[in-house]
Amino acid sequence: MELKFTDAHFLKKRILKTIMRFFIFLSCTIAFGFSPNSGLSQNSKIKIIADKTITVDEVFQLIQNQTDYKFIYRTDLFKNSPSVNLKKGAIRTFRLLDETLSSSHITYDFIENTIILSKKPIEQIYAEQIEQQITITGTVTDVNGNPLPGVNVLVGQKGSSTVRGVATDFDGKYSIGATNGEIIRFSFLGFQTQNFTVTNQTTLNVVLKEDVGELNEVVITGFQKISKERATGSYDIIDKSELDKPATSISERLVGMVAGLQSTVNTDGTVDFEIRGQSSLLADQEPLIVYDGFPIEGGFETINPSDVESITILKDAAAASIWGAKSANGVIVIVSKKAAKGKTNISVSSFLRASGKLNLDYSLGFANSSEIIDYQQKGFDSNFFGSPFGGPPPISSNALSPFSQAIVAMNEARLGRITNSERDATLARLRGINNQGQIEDYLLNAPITKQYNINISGGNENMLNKLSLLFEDNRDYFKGNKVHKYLINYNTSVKITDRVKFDFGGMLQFNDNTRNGVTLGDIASLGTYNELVNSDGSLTDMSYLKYYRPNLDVFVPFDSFAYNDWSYNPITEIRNRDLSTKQINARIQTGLTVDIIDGLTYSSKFQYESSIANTDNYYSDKTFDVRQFINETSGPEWNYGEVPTQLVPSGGILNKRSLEVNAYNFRNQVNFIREFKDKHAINFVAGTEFSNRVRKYTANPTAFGYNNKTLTTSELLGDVNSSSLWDFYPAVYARYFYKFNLTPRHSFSENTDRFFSLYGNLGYTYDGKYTLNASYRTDASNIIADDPKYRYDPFWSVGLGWQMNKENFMSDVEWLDRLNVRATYGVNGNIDKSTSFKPTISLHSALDVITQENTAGIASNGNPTLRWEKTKSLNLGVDFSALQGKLNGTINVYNKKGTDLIVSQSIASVNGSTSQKFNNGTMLNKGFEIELGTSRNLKGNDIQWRGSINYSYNKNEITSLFKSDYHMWDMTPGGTASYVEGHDANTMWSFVYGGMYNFGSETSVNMQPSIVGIDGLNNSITTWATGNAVEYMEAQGSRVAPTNIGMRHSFKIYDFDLSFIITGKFGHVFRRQSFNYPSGGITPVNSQYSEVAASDGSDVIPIPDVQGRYYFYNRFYPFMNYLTEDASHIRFQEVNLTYNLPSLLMNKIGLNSAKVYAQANNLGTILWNDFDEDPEYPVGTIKPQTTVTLGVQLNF
Amino acid sequence: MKFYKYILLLLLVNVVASCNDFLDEPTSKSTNIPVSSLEHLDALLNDYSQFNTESNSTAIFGTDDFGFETELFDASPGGNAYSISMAQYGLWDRENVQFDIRAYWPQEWEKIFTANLVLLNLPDVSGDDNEKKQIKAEAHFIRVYSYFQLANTYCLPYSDATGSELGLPIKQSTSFEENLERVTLSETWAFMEEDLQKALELSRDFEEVNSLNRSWRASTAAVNAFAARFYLALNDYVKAQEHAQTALNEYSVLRDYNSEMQFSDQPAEITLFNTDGTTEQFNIDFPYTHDTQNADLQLEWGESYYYRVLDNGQWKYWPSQELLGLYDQSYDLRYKYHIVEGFSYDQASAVDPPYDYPGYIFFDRSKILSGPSVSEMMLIKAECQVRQGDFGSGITTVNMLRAMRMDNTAPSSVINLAASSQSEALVKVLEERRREMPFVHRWYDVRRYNNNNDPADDVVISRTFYPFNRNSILGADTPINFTLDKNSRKYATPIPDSDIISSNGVLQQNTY
Repeated sequence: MELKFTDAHFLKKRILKTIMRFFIFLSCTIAFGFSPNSGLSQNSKIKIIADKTITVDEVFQLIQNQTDYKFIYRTDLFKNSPSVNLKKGAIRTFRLLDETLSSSHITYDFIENTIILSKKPIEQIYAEQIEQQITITGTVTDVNGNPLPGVNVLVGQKGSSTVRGVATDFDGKYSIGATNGEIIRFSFLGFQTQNFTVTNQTTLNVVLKEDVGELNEVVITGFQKISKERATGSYDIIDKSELDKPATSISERLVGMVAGLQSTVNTDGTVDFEIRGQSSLLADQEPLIVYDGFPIEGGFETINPSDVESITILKDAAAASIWGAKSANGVIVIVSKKAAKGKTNISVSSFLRASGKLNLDYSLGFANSSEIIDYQQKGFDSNFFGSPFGGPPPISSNALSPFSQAIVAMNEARLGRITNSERDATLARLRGINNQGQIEDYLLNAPITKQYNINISGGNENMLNKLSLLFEDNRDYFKGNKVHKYLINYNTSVKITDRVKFDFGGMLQFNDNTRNGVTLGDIASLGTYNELVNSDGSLTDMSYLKYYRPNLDVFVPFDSFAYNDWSYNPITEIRNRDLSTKQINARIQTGLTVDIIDGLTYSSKFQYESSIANTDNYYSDKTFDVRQFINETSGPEWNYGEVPTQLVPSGGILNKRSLEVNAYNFRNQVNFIREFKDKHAINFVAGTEFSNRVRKYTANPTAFGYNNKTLTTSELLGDVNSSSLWDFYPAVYARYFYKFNLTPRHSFSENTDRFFSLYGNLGYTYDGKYTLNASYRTDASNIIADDPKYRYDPFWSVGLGWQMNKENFMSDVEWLDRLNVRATYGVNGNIDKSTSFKPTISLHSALDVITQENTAGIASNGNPTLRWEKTKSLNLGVDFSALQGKLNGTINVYNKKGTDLIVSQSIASVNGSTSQKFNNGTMLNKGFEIELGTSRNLKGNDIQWRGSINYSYNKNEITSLFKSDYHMWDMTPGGTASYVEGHDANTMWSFVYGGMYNFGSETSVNMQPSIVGIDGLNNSITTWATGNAVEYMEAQGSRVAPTNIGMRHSFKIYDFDLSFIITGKFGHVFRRQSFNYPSGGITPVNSQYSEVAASDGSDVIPIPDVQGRYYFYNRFYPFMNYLTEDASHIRFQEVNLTYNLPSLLMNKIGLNSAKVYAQANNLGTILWNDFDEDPEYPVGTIKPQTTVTLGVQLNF
Repeated sequence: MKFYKYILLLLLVNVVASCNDFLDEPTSKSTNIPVSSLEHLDALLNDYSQFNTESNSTAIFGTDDFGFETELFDASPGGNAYSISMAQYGLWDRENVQFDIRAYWPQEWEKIFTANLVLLNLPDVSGDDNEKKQIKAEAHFIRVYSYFQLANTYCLPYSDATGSELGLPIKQSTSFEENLERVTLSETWAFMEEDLQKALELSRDFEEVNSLNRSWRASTAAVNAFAARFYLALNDYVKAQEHAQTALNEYSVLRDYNSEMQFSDQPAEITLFNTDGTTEQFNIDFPYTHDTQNADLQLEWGESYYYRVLDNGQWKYWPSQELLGLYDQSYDLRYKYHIVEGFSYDQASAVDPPYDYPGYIFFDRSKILSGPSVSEMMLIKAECQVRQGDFGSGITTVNMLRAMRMDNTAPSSVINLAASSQSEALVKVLEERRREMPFVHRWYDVRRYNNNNDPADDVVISRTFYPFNRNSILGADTPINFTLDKNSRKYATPIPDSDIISSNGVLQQNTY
């Protein structure tokens, strides 16, 4: 038999042409000039190295070796078939098959990658078998009830290599003949294979469970897919069952899931992540978020949680270095669900999440009204402890600063304007009031989130489509706040020709965010004895929170101002303002993939993102904010009894600003994946990428006299430059005192970030056991540089992997399923664009108010050492699985060394600045991570247990940083200024309390609370402590937990799934609430009053008798060492109970599957401190309440 | 295959090369941009807020213009009329002031950095050559002005005897690599004089912008006025008078306090709690210049050639009894408007029981114009005339100033000074100088008086106040005497310790 082969010369020319086109594509021109080459068939080619004659069986062997195809046929089928002559060259698989089989009466049927060969049409074989066998029919579905098409159903004698098989159809149905005693096996990529022994049953419906182990086989870096076995880096893949749970942001689902991913849940539900400790001191510290292959602008919030197929966390250099300059903080790769061929799948889900109102006792942390008045009385009697900043106000026309109702009563009695008995009556009344009930009723909400989701997907051979719609209605703790979120995602994949595939993804999001409500700070300003409503339900006038009301009444001629209503009540404010941000995010991702030759593909991808956020803050003139502004900008004439000159026109005020971000990424990449001779597997990618991101901010001038019905505005009524506020300050200063700016101008800023990158990654596996991985990337950005070469910097990694279990010497160790040993080393980068080689200036956006000239200032004194920050990481890892998956796990040990980190460094001020950013820091993160998991069937498929626990430990140390001296104010807030060589970057620096100390002399005794200052000398807390703060302050541990534990267990019990998540953080510290030492004004004392009131000063800072600089205490009291407590805690994060409705019932009502679930989050904590303070949400902040979520999910 | 490799290489090179254009896009259009045009440099120099402030505690508190009054201390709650740093600077503590976290030192070096940035970029930016020349001179002016301030604060007074003492580091670039070692005092002054000569090449009229004298930018008048101050400090009366005259020829407008000065109309009421239990309202009469912290009133004042202000962050200029005694309290309008009664109620909380001590107020509570001014030029001219023997002309010059400052209803013998000898004339001119420019010039003046050839004008400052330690003024101790001797090494304020450390010891501290 002779075969004709494709003209090899022709092929060569074609490849050359393709390569040339590819490089034209790589150059800077951004244009889609490439026409898909339809001449090449999708069929892969078989290479024939030399002329030879082989048997048909050998032909199949050859095909199996070079492709993914598997053959199923009776062993004796080709016993008598003639041999096949092959000529050197290449031939398409199906051509080879056709030619090989042309002389026999054999046909083949092609199901996925399995080729079933039979003598006659396949149906006839079954027909024959039916006569002697029973026919088994059934449906194969996944756990959600979705039918699974293409599942291999194989029947054969136990131990026999001869099997017969069919595949399920689009509806997941199959039909196969079998005899009793045979084994029937259901297998499908990504699912656990199930075996049954054929008894007499004719119906066998099978639910295939996703095989996490199997699915995890694929690691997605955003540039390529690597089989997990051959990945040498440190990756984590989020369990798919976790992604299925209700979430307003997919970030919620990562909490506690991954060793080495430290998460902090903010009160608004968003989550901050840190992978393997802090790796930069000043530059961006957030991990990179990649969605369907591109870093995205909007982050987690622009992703529909129900669209997410998988999340991969890239933790070490080998994993992340392909992301080059942006990868030092780790990478989170999110891949969206794609439509599958087959029947249109519709899934509808909805959930309702609710929680209780804010716990005001905790979130405000105030003392009770009576204690507050005791303190205020003590303060008043001592001229507020002698403090000039907080002393009782004198009466005069310009003394209008507010004091608490109690202090006003005391002062009015002192001035003789009210009697002592009137005062005492007022104080007694105030002592009896607690306004918390009113605050809860009138200002707070019980948060509710409602989310609705519709997913439609389906397609055929040539086109796959998927559409998802999300609507979310979100109400938070404060009345008047709400967020509506609309999100549409559409994905399509089109097979243009056999070799050209086109992908398109589009996202459109609209967020409507209304924030009319008060803030926690507003509520705190209401104190405890100030009531919002009168007993008859009418609103009270709380203007005493804004003015010293008796003076206002006496001196200010209300009626001569534009608004004679000077009353204030937060409820009025909420009702009469409209503060909203409307945000539109759009994202388009397109991709073209071309199969060039066997294993070689070329892909070109483009992403464009646009985000526009418009903030409109409208305040009607019914709000105090507007009335106050218009009245108080009406000049100082009222001080002389004259009529004020109104400057701002009556009516509402509108502030408007917008932020626009436009970004694109353009990537061209070649992929080469091929196996040679069964021994050599190569996975190679290389490409270029351009990215451009432009961020524009525009602030419009404030619109005065704005009428939101007619959309009209008015000009200012006078010249702002020559006008004064009612207290004589120039009118141009208004923006320092009020919400509104009287010198309105357009304000613009525009920033552009550009990157150009070249990258490549090569994976080579020998014999399925030894893997070498290497990647290289160079990034360049538009930083300011004298010489363009400074813009480039290379990043690279190498990794080695050894699949030990495949070695012969391990073959006897039957209990071990898998043992993979890995080692990687590489360099990742990070950049801080705030510095440049040369000094830079900033042009001020507006002319100088006085001189009307352009001005500019020095922005940076220059960083002659500027270069990319580099993180060098070494990772050693072991993956294992034993006892058929009953125990599996991963252990990673790493050493991450950050070098050339940009640090703000002390320099002699002779250089023009006391500090400058240089690439002079190094930092080390060392740690290890252990993940253990189990999967056990406790009672067949009916009761299953899957559990996992992860443990991670990270130690951070700044290994080099020259900073000569630290001021106390560098250390107290933490953060970049407090970085000290030899310490953790998140070290908590505190003052060592020195007790009461005589700062005077023997004759002039001056006892004051002190801290231990420089050289052990006591330093008063009424002056700045001098000297190097590192020498006298105490490093009390890290504010970030070195040890993190996450634990998750799920049980399937018949139709119920029960799961829970527990997280723990250990070994770090936090500061508990301190007494707040208020020196007058309207600030109430907090709940620590009793601790301080009873103190003699030996343990805690006491309240002084007389202290002229009492106001200075706040530089010290929140940062005392006695406030530092163990922050260790265990958090009961989540419990979820899901009921999967029986499929029999579902089928009757036309559903494939349905489930209902109930979930509770933030169930409680175990704390390691004695003060009942949650270290992550200390007293005085919003602590998330327990939430309950109820939901339903239907699949049609 | 080799051929293809070359093509590949060529294409890659091409990609990288064309990408330089792509990456040349600046990250921002307005912030963090490199200097590229003369407009940029002009805008830098226009930002007077970067240059105008002089928070020189040594000058504010360290002279006999500033009063340390134990009674005022006692009357204010917690002694808050005086802070510990006032005592440390005012009583010449040289141990603790080096740890002052708000030292004056960095403020002037920042200005020098900007001047150097301008000088370094000038050759490379686009723009008119003549304008470039002017900006170059202006940058030299900014640099020498700051060096003058620093040399007079952190170094010993310059004389033949002190020429080899420690001067300042010479900073002529924006590089962090430049040597920070302090050169000798004579080298420092030579460097300053060189800069001054380059600054004197400036040829720019004293313009008006937005109906204000453009005193935030250097002009021929401003540079000459500063040169007069510079040579006066070197006791070179010839040159000082010459430059003063040049400046006066350019501009010589003075405010007449009789018609162009008034009290603030803002009520500043204070409730006083008398010992007998009664309360009383007191209105503090501030000058109208007190009414704003804004630069507009300062620029409108109109007597300055160059806009600089002495800035007292503590808000308290307590005049000494000696200074108060120099004024004719009936007819000197400077006393009437700038010496504010009841200031202790406002700034020392001395209301219960009330204690009245006046404050010296110019702009707001904190600022006094300190740049070269018309009145300073007249006083320099008068002093030079007197010191050179022409004391009659000197007195005449001073009287021209007094006409603008004294109540014009006063008898002419009160308005006009008279002297019968050179030494009497000198005393009168120098007294007038104190009355006209208290706090601003006294520190510099005392330094030069003690180092000129005339021992008659020497000043030894002495005051009696409570002792103090690192943390507090010991108000219950017995007051003691503090003296700053004529040639005390304490005339050089210590350099901030943080700079000594940051420079790894290259920068040397003063010795005492």
